[in-house]
Amino acid sequence: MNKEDIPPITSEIYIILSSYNEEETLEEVVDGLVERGFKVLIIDDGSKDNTPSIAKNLVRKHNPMVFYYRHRINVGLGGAIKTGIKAALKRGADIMITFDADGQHNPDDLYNMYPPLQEGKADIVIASRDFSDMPTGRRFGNTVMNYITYIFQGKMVTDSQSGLRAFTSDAARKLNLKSPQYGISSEIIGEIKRKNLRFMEVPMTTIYDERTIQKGTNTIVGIKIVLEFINETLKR
Amino acid sequence: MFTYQIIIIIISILAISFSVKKYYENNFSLATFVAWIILWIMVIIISLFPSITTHIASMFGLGRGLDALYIAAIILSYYAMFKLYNKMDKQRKRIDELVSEIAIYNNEHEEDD
Repeated sequence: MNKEDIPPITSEIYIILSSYNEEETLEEVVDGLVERGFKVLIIDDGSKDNTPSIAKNLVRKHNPMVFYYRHRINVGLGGAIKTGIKAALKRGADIMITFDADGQHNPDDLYNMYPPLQEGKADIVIASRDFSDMPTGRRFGNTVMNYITYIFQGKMVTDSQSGLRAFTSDAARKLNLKSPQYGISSEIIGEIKRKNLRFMEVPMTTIYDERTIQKGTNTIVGIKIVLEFINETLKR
Repeated sequence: MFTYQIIIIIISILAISFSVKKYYENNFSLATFVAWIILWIMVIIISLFPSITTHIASMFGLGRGLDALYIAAIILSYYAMFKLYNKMDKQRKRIDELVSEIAIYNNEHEEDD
């Protein structure tokens, strides 16, 4: 993208970077985000590798753009996002964007995400992957997860498991999120409907390599998400 | 009256008074309290009139009173498991909350130094 085409950042934008054992990619990801003018909240979800020391170095290197939060024990993606939202609200964020630290997201995709929020056109923006680019197994899994999200959360979207989500601070305050794990993605979709939030989808590019393919949502995680939903539904 | 009947009745009365105490200390919800009271009153009735179990058993098409008791015990233990699971889930949520609070506290604290 040409420099002139980059939409100006006119608000306090914080990236919520949930990371669990990301020593290999963390520095590159954070550098890329800071270069583009975003403030970064590194949420370390109890990593057991070198993530803490790398993160602390990044805080010093990019002072005052990067902040480090550490969960003493591993909670899960949902827990990390919730801590990130709380931290961003405390720091006076106008907009917060969840981002993965494993290098599968392209920071240039953020340029599509914050303008609708800054202009007041939406409360939540989710970047959807192009399913036709996905490996077959992955495409099937994500399609199934879209239907599961529809059944349990009542809203159909293009990519229910997307990790790139941007919301205004007002929307973030309204979100009532319970899932500690991967169920959070679908739960956010459900909250859009329940809280009547204005929602927009934008396209995103995904970088698939062996590492990111191994990490994301696999069948077992999918089953766990379903069990979590059944459990929450029974308790309602 | 047999000794076992007296023992069971004493245990039941103790359990009922325990439930009442728990209820007034706000440790039991009304639903739990009522369920416990009904359960222990039933235990007292059955120990006073053991023949009831045979009637109940034949009502459900089971041979002996003892079988009905076993089945009731199994159902009750499943219920206990369910309750425990929910309690565990609640505890996990509290721990998650705490971990999150500590992360935010430490971040703010370190910056003050």
